[in-house]
Amino acid sequence: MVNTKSINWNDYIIYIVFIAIFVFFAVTLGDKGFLSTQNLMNIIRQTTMIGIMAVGVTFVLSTAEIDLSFGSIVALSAIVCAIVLESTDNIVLSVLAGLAAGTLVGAINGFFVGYVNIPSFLVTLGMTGIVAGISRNITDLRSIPIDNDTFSFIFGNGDVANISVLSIWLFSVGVIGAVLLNKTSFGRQVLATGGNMLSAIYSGINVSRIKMQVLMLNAFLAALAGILYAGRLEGARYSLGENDLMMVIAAVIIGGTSLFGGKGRIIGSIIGALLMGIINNGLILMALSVDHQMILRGIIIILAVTVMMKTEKK
Amino acid sequence: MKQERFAIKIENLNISFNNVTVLKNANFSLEEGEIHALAGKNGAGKSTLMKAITGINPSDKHCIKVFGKSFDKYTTKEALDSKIAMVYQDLSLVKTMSISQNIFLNNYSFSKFGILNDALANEKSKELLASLGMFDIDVNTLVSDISVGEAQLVEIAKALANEPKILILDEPTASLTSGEVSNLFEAVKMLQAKGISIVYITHYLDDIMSLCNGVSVLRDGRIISSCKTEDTSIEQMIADMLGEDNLSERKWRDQKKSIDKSETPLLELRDISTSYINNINLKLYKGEIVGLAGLLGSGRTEILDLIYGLTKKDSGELLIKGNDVTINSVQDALKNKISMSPEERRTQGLVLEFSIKHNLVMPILDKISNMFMLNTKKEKKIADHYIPYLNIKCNGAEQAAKYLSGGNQQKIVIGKCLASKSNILLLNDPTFGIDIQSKLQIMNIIKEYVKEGNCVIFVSSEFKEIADFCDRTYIVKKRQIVKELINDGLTEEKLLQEVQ
Repeated sequence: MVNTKSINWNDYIIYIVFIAIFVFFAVTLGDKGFLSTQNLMNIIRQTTMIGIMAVGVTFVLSTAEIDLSFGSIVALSAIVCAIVLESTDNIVLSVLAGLAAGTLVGAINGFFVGYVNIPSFLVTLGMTGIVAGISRNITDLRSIPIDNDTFSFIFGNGDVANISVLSIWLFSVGVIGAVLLNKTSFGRQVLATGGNMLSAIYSGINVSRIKMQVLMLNAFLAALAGILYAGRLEGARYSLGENDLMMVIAAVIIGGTSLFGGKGRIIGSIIGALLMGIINNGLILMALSVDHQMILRGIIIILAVTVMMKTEKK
Repeated sequence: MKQERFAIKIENLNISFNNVTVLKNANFSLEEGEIHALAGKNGAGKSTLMKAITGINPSDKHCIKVFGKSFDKYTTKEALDSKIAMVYQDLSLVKTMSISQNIFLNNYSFSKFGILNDALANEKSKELLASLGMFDIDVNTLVSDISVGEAQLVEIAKALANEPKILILDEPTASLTSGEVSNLFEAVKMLQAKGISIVYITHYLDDIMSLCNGVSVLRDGRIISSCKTEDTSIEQMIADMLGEDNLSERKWRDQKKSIDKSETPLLELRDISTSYINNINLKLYKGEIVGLAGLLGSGRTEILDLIYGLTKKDSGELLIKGNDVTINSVQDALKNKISMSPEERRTQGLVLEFSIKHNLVMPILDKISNMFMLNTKKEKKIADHYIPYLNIKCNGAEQAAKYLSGGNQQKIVIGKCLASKSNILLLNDPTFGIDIQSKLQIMNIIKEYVKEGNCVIFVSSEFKEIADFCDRTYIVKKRQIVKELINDGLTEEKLLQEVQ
């Protein structure tokens, strides 16, 4: 009989990796201000969007599907939100429009994946092109500025009691996501679908609907991330989110979610996202050039994922 | 006495796994040029014996002789060098590749400088298929586009591409229609005419009589009899297959329930046809356990799949307590209080990574949630009730299902059905490959279940279980229900004869 307690190591390895890298930077970069409150808050500001997207992707991977289109949804929803805000000056309306645009894309993804049974990899890859094209088309490759202090305060630059509003957003999404995945029948159905789709079908779970809902949820969160980008940068641009794909998926995998479905770790994903932020920040503080940063970041991600995957096998 | 030459001669072969003996002093011989059948119940040791012949299972020195030659070491390499080929039961073709690509899948004898000569491969494939009586087929057709019967012949052609002298066929007719079966027989006879010696494994005893020259019967790891087919009979083969143990352990025998047929049946199928099964009529009364006896591919699984909403009916009616209902999905089936323990507990019944508790509540997530939130107290209560009730041996409700034995995993699957509070329980081979104690526990639970006014359809690959355990049995043959039997005094022998 296998001792069930010995197999949960991989749930904690992310924290150990996190602490190890944090300590490494704290020691080597302590004199360059790595540990200053301002710098740590900066890390959170830069990581919030990655973390929110990572929560959505955790759901998608838990059903053993993938979504490659969320990066393009980020830009689309930010642009839609900025355009509506510019023309109506109505914050609620603009946010709803941004979220709706993103979620609609997710619904189309979900329809093809869940009901037409097209592999999610292909559907979302194709969707990336479509959505990125639309974003370029409606903006003519220009930025849409946002000149609304309230909007920018709520969705990016505000501080409440010295805490960035972005960290509040990240915290809320993390808590809601963790409850949704671990404490609701929806979450259980997600994990069952990814754990063994046939068994889920035989148990009466509507796996088509679950896949659709999960892709909509992921698109919704990507749209939220897009709106937060718009708030923080006080404007929207077609290139938003373009480079987040690798970071987000790496954060989720490092956080302990299985690429093959059935196992999702929301908190792990957020820690994974923070880890990505720390690595970015550390590399910048080391005053490395962008090309060196890119190479080192890639190496660190591969190493971290290798450590995660290898401990998982034990 | 005439000098017989043996293609294969095995003497005193012993094979055991983890100290469990699977083959005991087995002697087996295949004469050159004959078609020799190998019969036996599930678990008798047929596969183990064949794996010894193909070198997958290691065997003692010199106990396997191929064409008179013995070996110091006998592995898959020696088997291949001796020109032995096996055609497996579950087709191993790559569906996305063409017929000819499959036939020469790992045989690159036609390549020059690493470039495959497709034209020559196609030519050769055509010849091989023609030798099996398949003349008018385009060898560029994808395997996904051909029928199961054709695929079976392609599979044989693939084995023939290595020019074997000995061919082993494992249940080649299991999923074929009767027309396809006669094509296959023709093909097998053509191979024999070419001098290939053939071992033919099957459950269809009729086929043995009409196709094979000799037959060996395995039971409990021993060869019980080995003779020419003209010197035996179907009755004799059945007796050899079953042996003494069919006389003992008639535990459920005296408890047959007589059914009041004036009652409205809990479940009734009227003239139901799908793309696979035809004109199924079946009635299931309160308190009954009804068996579906049929061979693999007979349609027994498809009947269950239909009732459980996994396939749609083309015509006919499905009635529950006399009311015509539509069941188009598993959700519909569950709403109508039908539950199923599927054929494959590991791939269909369980999420192996899930805990016992999480598996148990999978069909009833809606019932144990308030709004969206799962009621973990209810969940725990269900686990705390069913784990001891089903006698699931585990380290607690949180243990992952993958760590449990087959018998205990099966109990979880049954538990899922019970937890869903169904009235109609479909059991597809629930006792396959589980230990005798779990088997008895499961059967007791099912007896308990029907006493509460529910009913069960029981499919098993063990006919003895159907004969002993059920109140009534339908014989499923060639995708139809051909007969209904009252189980009073029904025996395994009788069932085995009926399903042929």
